[in-house]
Amino acid sequence: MLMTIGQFSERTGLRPKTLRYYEEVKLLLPEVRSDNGYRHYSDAQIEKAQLISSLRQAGVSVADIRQFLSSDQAQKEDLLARWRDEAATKLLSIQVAHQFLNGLDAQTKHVHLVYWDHPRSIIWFPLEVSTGVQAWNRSAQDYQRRLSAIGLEVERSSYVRFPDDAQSMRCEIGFVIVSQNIPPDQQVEKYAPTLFATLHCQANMPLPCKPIFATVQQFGFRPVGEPLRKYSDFSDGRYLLMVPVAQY
Amino acid sequence: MSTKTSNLHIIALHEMYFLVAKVETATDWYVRNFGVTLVDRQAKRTTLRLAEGSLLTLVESDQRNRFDSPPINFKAHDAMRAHELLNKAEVRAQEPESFYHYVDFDVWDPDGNSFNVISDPAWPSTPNNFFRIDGIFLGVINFEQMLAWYADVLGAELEYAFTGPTSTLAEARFRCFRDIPFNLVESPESVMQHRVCEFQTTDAQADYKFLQAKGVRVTELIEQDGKRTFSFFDPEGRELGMVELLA
Repeated sequence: MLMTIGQFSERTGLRPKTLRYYEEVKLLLPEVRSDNGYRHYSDAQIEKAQLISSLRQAGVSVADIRQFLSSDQAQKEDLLARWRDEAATKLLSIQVAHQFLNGLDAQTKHVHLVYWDHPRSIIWFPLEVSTGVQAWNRSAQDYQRRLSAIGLEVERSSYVRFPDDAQSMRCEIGFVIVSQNIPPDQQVEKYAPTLFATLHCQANMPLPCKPIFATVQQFGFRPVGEPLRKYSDFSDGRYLLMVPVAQY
Repeated sequence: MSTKTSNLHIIALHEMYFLVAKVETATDWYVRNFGVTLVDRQAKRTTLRLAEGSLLTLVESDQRNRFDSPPINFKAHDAMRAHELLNKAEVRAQEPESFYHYVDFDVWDPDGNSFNVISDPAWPSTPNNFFRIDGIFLGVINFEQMLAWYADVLGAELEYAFTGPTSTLAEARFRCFRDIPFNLVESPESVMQHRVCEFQTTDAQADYKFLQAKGVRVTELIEQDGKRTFSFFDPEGRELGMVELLA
């Protein structure tokens, strides 16, 4: 039995305006267009209309839905997997935003969030740990000159990390590579997309670790890997502490 | 150097005072375990110094100050190595905590005075592993009232607010002021029988006038031996010294 747009609207719970839009973007065409131009829908289209509406509410684009409706089973599985990943990312972003706002107060120094949303290539070099930041500055300049000489373009900031091995005082300095072509003989580490809680720090703070990690925890984040110290300028010892975090 | 980041001209913790039962015994203990240099000896007090100039004065007394949390830090280049050596010397020390090479642990001297040993790998090595006394983490009883008072008097912004365990509270409140070596700790059982510490200022006269105008109780401003000094008192009765080192 065919239904007018009003009857179909009542059966599906979708407004006529929405059904006309679905037709305009070629997601759901009426089964029949009568001579007088009236739209008529079939029972078999009810489920399809509700599926389209549900996917739209889940944030799936019209183009993706159109592709989904015309796909075979395997292609549908692939699309669903991608949408689930995208939804998880959006959910994480909202949860992180909520956590961030909960931890924020108007009075004290703030934790910020930095999201490396795409992989970074970092080239690392050993650094003499006992020499202090002034010597690190000279090392950074030496390494940057060396990279420039082989045509490898890097960001100006330097990253320092201390692999979590309490028995040794190892230290490394790294540079984010900007160049597209990386010589194959260079040891480059890929950093996966990472969420960092960040704090501006001074080397001279009276108690460097406790406020930082207490503040990160206060925001409901859990450190999950080795922190990076980002030095834009070594001269005053200030750095941005970047702690990779996950939610509790 | 004149770095005015608050109402006062404080640039560093200059001197810390610990009360001890026997000044000779305590002095030997600090010299032996922390490589401090004895720079002044009087009948009932000695003054010790670390490489970067900060002072610890030991005062012989039957009384004791009580700290719910260590009021100062001994900054070290390598706190892990320091802990090993202190352990061998049977010094009472907490297990070290390491946060990716930020390392710290608490230490108690034989008279019960506590302090923290910390290291950050960004600090360059020095001939003596310990190179500076830093702080101060001032224990206050009525935390909110005292925070308001110090914020008003110091005129400095807060840098960090966090909680942590002390000997009396599982989640004591800590507040660190920005750009000055001054931090408050919620310490309901703290007892201060003696002048706590002395801050170095770049303008003792201006600070003296400011505190007087603010209605803060101060002692006389004295100029002698190349220094201008005075003390001020907080509403809970703690005496805090100020010193300007004259060229």
